[in-house]
Amino acid sequence: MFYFSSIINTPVHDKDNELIGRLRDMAIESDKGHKYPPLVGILVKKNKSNEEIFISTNKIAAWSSDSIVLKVTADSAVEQTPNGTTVFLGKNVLDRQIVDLSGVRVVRVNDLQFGQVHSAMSLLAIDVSAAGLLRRIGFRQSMLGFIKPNLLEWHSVHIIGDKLQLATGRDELVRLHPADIANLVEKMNVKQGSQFLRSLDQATAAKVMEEVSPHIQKMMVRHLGAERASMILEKMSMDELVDLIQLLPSVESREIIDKLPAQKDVNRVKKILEYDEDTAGGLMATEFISAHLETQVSEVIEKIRRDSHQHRSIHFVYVTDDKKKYLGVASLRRLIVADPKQKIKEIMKRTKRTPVVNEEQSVREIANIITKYNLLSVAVVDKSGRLLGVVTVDDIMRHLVPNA
Amino acid sequence: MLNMVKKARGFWLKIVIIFSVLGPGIIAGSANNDAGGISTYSFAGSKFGYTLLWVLVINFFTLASTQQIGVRLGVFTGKGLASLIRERFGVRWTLLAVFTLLVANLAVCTSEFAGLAASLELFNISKWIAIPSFAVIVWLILYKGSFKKIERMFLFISALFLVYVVAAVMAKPDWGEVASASITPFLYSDKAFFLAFLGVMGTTITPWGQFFIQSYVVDKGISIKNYIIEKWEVIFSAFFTCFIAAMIIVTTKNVLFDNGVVVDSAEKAAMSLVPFLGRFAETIFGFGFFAASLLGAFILPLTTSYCVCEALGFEHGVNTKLKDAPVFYGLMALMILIAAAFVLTPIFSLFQIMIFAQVVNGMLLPIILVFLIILFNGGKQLGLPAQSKISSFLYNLIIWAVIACLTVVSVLLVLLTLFPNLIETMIWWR
Repeated sequence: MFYFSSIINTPVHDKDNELIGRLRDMAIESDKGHKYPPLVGILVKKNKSNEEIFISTNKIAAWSSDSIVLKVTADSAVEQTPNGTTVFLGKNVLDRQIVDLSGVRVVRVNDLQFGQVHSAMSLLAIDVSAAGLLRRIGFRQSMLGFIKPNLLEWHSVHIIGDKLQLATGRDELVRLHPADIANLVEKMNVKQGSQFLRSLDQATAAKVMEEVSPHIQKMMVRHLGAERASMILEKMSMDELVDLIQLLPSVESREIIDKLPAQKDVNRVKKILEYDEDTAGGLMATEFISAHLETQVSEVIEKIRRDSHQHRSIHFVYVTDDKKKYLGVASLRRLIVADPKQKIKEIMKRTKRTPVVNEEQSVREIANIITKYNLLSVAVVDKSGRLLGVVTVDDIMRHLVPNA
Repeated sequence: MLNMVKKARGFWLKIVIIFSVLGPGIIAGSANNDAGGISTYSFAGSKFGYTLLWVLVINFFTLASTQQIGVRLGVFTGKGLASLIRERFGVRWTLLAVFTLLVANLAVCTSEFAGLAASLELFNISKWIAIPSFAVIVWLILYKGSFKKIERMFLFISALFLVYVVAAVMAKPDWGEVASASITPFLYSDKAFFLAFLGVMGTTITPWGQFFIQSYVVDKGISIKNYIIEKWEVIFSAFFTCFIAAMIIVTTKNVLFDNGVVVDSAEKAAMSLVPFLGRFAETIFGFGFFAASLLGAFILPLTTSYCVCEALGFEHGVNTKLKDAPVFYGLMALMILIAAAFVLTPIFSLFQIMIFAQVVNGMLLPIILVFLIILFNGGKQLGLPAQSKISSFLYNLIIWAVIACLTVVSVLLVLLTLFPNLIETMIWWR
């Protein structure tokens, strides 16, 4: 096992013990999905010249920090410097800022650790500790035992803002909760953050954007520009989208609304924009599953199956009459327990037993109602009793605890 | 008609954009005209009259160049200066840069605390009460992360020092003399003169300001679209900063130098405003001095710790918790502690601390400028657009000249301190 700091500038000899030059850099293949990516080659600066040559790892007989010895002669060692997916560690990884996906933090690569894995010299870990720093300025590892090592594995980091767009860490990244990814984005600067966001798929990016704090949301949208921002925003849920648009000055918000695709009902956005931010109208989501009172339970369940992908979460089905007047609510539990041939009006909870709010009621009032009646969400109706939207308990929580 | 309305809207839009971008240059600039700056300029003006005015002209060109380079690097790479140095030069050079920044900023931070103490002494509050309590207040506010909101207060503080413009006019100076002194380089081999020279340069152009402007541009995500506006904002701010400095020198020359008073305390510095503000001079001066020092005392530990952690890879940022970012918060605490302790040690007067801090800055500045100009010249590798040959040549000329000048004067100052009779000896040799 050795460190990048100890092997850099090590003399490289061929099999006749002839000095070729000194080690300048080492390369791995990034996209093979190895847990410990094997080294594919080294870059050597030739003795008494400025030429740098690439030597593949299978020509190396022995590694040590005193000398690297090849199996072949100097002339037959040289190869074409590969490109494409090859990552030169010294040039592209060392000293860069990385996202530690397991610790959800932004740190810097101080040193790299190598060792034999299945008889191939491989990158074992990325060192982000102070010991790594001290090794770089000439301290020996043996003197640094008192510092707690801080080693990360290659597949659990993501290199920030690199043009190479290293594929590493992608799988690990999407496994994180969007709220955690949002925390990471908040720790980067605007440029890094928006680059990071763009490297995610649109749906994930939208979920992350919803979780980012409003102040940073605003800067990101500006930095991305209306065109690119709207590609992410279109996947956001209506109420979050409206909140974000409300933050922007009118010129910019109009630009964004113009860019949103047709299926995002722009009129609805504009309508919600008219409500005050801390009233039911401003908080509510306008995406929910509703059903006519005469619908059969089996049809409702079929509808949920069909439209499920459009909704963040589905806990209730809202029941209305011919005139869209709100009548009651049926929980998923009731739907599952019920006989599929029953009509939904037979199993729903009627409005008399479940309170509703009107669009002008304040966050405080809604919070009181939700707490008092132990609700997960509450329906918002207008004066004539028509269903407008739904306020869920997380909309309320986000409003009351904005900086989580 | 419609066209005119559209044009008018375009005009107002532009004004709005300029104001939304207005900030980094003026904040950095006016933070440089802090208590330490006012003291240094007052000292220079009252001791050497107009003879240091030409340095302010050099300062303007230098500040405008270095800050423009900072903006350019920030906008096009999206990285702070500390990050760029680390990624381009590796760990060893980064440690040198970080250490330089740390020492320079610790000096300025100490000067801010000295400014706090000096201003409060004008109101008869002992430094033994003021310094410990403000050290605790500053730490608490930084720890709670609620500082960012008051950053823009710098804009108002810098407006307060406009009183010097009026004071300078009221002193009825011979403007012809001022103009000719501004373009006549003057050097004079005297330890105090070298100190004042380094102080005047070191307080206007600081390692701190260089890191700050780039971080600001990066954090606020100023886009390439607004780059030109930001460039002009920086030039305007550099001019404003140096203009205020010049007015302080003009005021103190006419009010104090001509009457044989040399500034060696905040009280005497306030005297220069008496002809204009009368008996309110000390109060208004004291208030401005206090506010500027307090803001500096917040911003220095914060930005220093931020840059050091950014370069060395420790977790940092006002959104982090103490548990996750012990180095970030620890370094801030340490800086406040050292600065406060130094101000309370009775070896140096508050005024000496303030001026020495600027001299230390001036002596360390060349190191940071060398990093800056190398990064600028290697801009192509960093993805910067090509720079025209003329402007590239001008930037290089100005910055290398300043590096040479500061280095020579620093060396001379050290030699003169070690061998007070150096000049006579050299003449005798000949």
